[in-house]
Amino acid sequence: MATTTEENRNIPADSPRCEILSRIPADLLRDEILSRIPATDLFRIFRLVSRQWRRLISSPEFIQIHLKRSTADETQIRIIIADPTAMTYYNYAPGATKDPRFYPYPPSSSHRYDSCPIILGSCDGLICLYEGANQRFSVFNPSMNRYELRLADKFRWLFLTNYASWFGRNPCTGEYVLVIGSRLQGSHVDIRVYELKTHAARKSRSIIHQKKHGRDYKYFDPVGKFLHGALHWAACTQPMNEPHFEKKHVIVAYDFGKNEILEIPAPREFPFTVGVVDECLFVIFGNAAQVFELWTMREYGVKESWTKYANIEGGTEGFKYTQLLVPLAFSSDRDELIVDADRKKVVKYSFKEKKITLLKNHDSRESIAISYVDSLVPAK
Amino acid sequence: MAAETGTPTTLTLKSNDDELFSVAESAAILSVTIRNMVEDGCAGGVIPLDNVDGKTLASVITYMNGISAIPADEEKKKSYRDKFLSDKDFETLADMVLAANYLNMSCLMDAVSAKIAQVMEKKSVGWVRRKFGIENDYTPEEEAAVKEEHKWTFEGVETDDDN
Repeated sequence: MATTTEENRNIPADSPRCEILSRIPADLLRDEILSRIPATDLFRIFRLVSRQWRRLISSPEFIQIHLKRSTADETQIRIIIADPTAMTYYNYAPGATKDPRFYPYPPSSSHRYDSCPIILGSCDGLICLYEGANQRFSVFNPSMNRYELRLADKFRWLFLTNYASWFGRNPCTGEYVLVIGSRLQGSHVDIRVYELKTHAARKSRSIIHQKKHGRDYKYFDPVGKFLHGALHWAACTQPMNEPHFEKKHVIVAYDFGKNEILEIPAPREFPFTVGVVDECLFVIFGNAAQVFELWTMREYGVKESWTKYANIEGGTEGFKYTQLLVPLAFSSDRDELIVDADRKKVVKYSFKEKKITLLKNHDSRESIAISYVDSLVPAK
Repeated sequence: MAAETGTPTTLTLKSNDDELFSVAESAAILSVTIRNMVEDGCAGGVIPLDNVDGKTLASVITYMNGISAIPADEEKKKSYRDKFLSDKDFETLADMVLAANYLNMSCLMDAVSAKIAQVMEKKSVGWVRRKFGIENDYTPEEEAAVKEEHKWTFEGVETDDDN
């Protein structure tokens, strides 16, 4: 229970109604009320109310409380798409405005307007971007519109056309890291974990990495999905000068704790994408009849537990010429799924109505869409 | 606790301005504070609620009765809560959040807090200061510096009128 603290001072004596609001204890105000207000409003308006409110909103404790509430609130689906000239933000909350908001790239960015920054991952309201032209990393908080450059020491990126990426908190250390999977010369796969440093802290260096020999992967969707302490990418094994090579579709998993690269079999041998819902892996693939199927892995790592959940049918308009559906987010009732279809368009699919709604066509084939949460976590 | 004879037990609640209210025990125990009193056997006579006034308590009891009459259907409960709160002004909501906190009623707490947050969204700094009785303790230089921190960002984002 909240208790009244001495923080409620400034009470005008002549205003009994104001007095009631001032009587709301500071911790109740913080934990129950301010934690439900969008980060944008808190950052832009509420910090200006008073020194006390600014301190409260900027405190690491409040930022975590706000993040926890925001992450738990599945009614708010936020998607950001990085196009060449701007990032577009969508919020699919029930009743939320359907008008997208555009974030032009910041003036400080040396971003080239003929190419898109690559979204490497999203975590806690932060989006990690890579500008290929000048090989710069940045971390962006769309809710606060804060953008900061980062450094990844000894970064090696060998194949921009075929890589795996992820940005988030290392479950072992809690630090924000960037994970890149790529191919090395010869015949092995390489997964590296980079600490993303601010310029101020650039001296410290630490890279963890793991190789897997005799394997090469083609990744269907570069952005990894986190579950049970490991990252997951949909991939197929590529032939490596072996006679009678048989292509296999697998989920490549990188386990942080064990520093191991594992393979989890996919349910069928078709190009596919992977996602996580309700603590389960799921995959989407187009079957031989060009109908998309969604399967869930009921028991983690157990091939026999792959279970078909539903078809994703698009009617005549549908997904006829679509190769891959990258899952971005499920609605809270799990009826709607937002997918990126071949990086051409972002659409919403309703399982109940078997209906597709177009949300946005990509401006460029390089554009990547990702979901994120509203947060006050600083980009710094 | 309710006897197994079938007659619903009624509790009498007393507000801090000495108004008395009768309410079914089954509805009243939505409040953990009241439930604890009932379980401790302190609910024999009148239950005094020193932090809630009569007007607010009447409202809370309306809510208790309304929500407990709805069977376990989260959708219906949600729409009841939305309707219940739709006509409450900001000050009444503040009274209710304090009452929900004191009575330890998490479902009312969540709903009222969310409603207050919703009302506060997109409101101006002046509105918040007035409603909460907060004086601006920034120097003009400090205030300008805080504004400067998000300058690049929020051009063209509108807020509600300053009232």
